[in-house]
Amino acid sequence: MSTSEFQPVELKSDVRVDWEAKQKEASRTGLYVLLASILMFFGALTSVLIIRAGSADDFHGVPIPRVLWFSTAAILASSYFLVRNDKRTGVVFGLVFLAGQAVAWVQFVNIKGPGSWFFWTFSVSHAFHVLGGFVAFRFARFELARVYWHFVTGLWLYVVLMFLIWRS
Amino acid sequence: MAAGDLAATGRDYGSREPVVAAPPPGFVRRWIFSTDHKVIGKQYYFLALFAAFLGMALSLLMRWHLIDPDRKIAWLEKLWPEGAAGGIMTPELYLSLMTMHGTIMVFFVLTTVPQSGFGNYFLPLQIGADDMAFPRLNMASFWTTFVSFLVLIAAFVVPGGAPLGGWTAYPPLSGVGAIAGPGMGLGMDLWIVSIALFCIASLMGAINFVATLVDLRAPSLGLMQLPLTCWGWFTTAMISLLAFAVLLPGGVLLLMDRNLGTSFFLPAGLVVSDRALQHSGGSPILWQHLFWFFGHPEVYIAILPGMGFVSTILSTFARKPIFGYRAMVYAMVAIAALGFLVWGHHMFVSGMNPYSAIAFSLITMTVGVPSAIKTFNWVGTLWGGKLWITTPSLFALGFVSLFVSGGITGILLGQPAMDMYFHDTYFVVGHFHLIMGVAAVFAMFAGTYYWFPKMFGRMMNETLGKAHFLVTFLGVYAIFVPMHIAGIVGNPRRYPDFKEFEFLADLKFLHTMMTHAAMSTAAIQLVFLFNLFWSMYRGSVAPANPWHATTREWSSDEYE
Repeated sequence: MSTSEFQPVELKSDVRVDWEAKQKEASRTGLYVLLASILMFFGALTSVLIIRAGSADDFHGVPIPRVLWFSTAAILASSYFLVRNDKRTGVVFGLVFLAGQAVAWVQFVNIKGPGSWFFWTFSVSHAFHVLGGFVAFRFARFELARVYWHFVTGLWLYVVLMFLIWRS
Repeated sequence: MAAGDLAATGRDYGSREPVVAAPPPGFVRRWIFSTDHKVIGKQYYFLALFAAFLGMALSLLMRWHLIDPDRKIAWLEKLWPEGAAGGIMTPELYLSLMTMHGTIMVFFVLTTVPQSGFGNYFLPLQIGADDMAFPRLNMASFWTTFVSFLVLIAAFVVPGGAPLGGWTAYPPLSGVGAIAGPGMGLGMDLWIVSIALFCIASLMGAINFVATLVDLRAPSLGLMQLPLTCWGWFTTAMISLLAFAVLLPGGVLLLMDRNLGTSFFLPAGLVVSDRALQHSGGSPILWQHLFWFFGHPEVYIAILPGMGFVSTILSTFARKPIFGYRAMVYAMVAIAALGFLVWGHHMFVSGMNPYSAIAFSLITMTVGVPSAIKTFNWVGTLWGGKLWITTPSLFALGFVSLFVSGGITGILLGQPAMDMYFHDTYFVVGHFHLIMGVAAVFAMFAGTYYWFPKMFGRMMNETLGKAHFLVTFLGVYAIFVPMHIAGIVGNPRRYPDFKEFEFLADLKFLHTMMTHAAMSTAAIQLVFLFNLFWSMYRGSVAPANPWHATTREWSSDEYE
C-alpha cells in the first residue's frame, strides 16, 4: 500500500475556530475535575470519620471552638464580596478566615482523643485548599478562581456540619 | 471516518500562528524543564524504563533466592551488609525487595508509561491540539513524579533499608514504626511520602488529560470519532482523578498514625516485637478499604490505555477498521466504572459480611462482560483481515492472549469460596502478573515498537524485535503459568523460602523452572534495550507513516 493514499483532504475554508476560547473552556473543565477529586478526598476523610466514630467506643466528639463561627462568617463574607466582584475585600476576608483558624488551632492544642484528630485533619486539609485559593487569585482567571473559592467556602460549611454532628 | 478526514482535522483552522513553534533555546528549557508534551512524554518514558529494569532486577534477586535460599552471594553482602550478612539473604531483605519491586512496577512503570508517557506524547497529536491544556502543570506533574521516585529509592539507602509491607502496606505493621522490622521506620515513612507525592502528580496529570480531551479536540473531531487510544487515556484519567484522591488521605492518615500518635488504623491491644502499644480503636481493615478503593481502579489504570493501543495497532495491522467501535468505547467506560465497585474482592478473607462478599463477587464477574466484548471485538477486527506480522502487531496479539489467560483466573478469584483457598497463594501472584503486569507491559512494548518511528524518526530493528517478542512471550508464560499450579498446591506467596513445608518439596522443580524462565526473559529485555538505543541513532530512517496508519499523529509534522 503506498503512502500516497493518505494525503490530507482539502480543507473547508469556512471553518474558523477560536482556539483561545477553547483554551478557556479547557481551564474551566480542568477546574471542575479538580473539584471532583477534592470531593473524593473529603469524601474519603468523611468515610474514615464515620467508621472510626461508629466502630470503637473510645470515640468522643470535641467541643467546637467559638472562634470557628467567626471564621465561618469571615469566609462567607469573602464569598459575598467576590460575588460582587470585589476581589481585594474578598481576599482580605479570606485572610481573616485563616487567622480565625489559627486561633482555633491554638485553642485546640491541648484537646486530645480521636475527635480532635478529625478536627485537625479536616481543618488543616481545608486550610491547604484555602491557600490554593490564594494561589488561584494570583495566577488564574478571576471568574475561575472565584468558582474555586465558592467551592472552598461550601466545603468549609460541610466541614462545620461534620463538627456539629460529632461535637461533644 | 476516512483516513484523509482524520489527517485533516487538526491544524491550520482559523487564523492561528504557525503551530510548530521553534523549541525554546537552551538545553535546560528544551530537555529538562520543558513544557512540550512530547519531551515530557519521553521524560516519563525513560524514567519508567529505568524503573522497569530496576524492578526487574529486584524480582530476579527474589527468584534466584527462592530456588536456593541458603546460597551465599558475596556481592549481595556488599549491597546489603545487614540484609545479607554473610552473603545469605535474610527474610527481611527478601520482603523489602518484594515491596520495592511491587511499588516500583505498579506506580512507576504500569501507571507511568501507558498514560503519562505515550499519552502525553500522542494525545495532543491525535486530537489535533498544539499541546496539553496546561503545559506547565504537565511539567510540574512529571517533576513531582520524579521526586516521588527519588524519595522511594532513598528508602534503599536510609538506616533500616526499604520497607517490608508489600505494595499494599497493610497496617497494623505498616503503622507502628521501626519495631515492626528493619525498613519499617524511616523506610516506610519514605514509602508513604513517595506515594502521596505520586498521588498529587497523577492528579495533576489526570486534570490535564481530561481538560485536553474534552476541550482541545480539533473542530470536526467528535468523541465517537476518537481513536480508541484516546478513549483509553480518557477513561484512565477519570479513574486517576477519583482513585488517587482517595489514596492520598489514606496515606496522610497512615503517616499520622506512625508519627503523631493517632489511631486511625491501629487497634487496641497490639503487641509488636514484645512491646505493648498504646493505640486503641483504629481499624486496619479501614486502610484496606481505602487502599483497595484506589487499588482496584489502579489495575485498570494500568490496562485501559494498553487496550487502546492494542485496538489501534490490531486494526492498523489487520488493514481493517476496528470491529464494533462503539461497543469498544462503551466497554472501556463500563470497565472504568465497574472498577470502582469491586474493591471488596481483595478483602474476602479480611472478615466481611457474606452478603457484601456476594455483591462484590457478582460485580467483579460482571467486569468479565465488557472484557469479553473487547476480546471478541479484537478477534473480530482480525477476522478476515490481511494481517501484517510486525513486532508491534505481535506484541498486540500477545496482549490479547495474556489478557485472556490472566483474566480467566480472575473469574475464579472473584468467588469468595474459591478465594478463601487461593488467597495469598502463588495463584494470585500468577493471575495479577499475567493480566496487570505482563499484559500491560506487552501493550507498552507494542506501543514502543509502533510509535518509535514517530518519536525518534527511525525504525527499530524488526529481527531483534521479533526475537524479543518470541522469547518474552514464551518466557512470561513459563514463569506465570507454573505459579498458578504452585498456588493450587497451596504454595503461599511472600515467603522467602519453603524449606519448612514438606508438601511443597515436590514444587522445587517448578520453582527452578520459573526462575530459569525469569532469567531468560530478563536476558532478552537487554536485547530490547540494545535495540531501543541502537535504533535511536543507527536505525534506518523512518518514513512519515511506516505502518500506513490512519490516526492523526502520523500526518503531524511535529517531531522532537
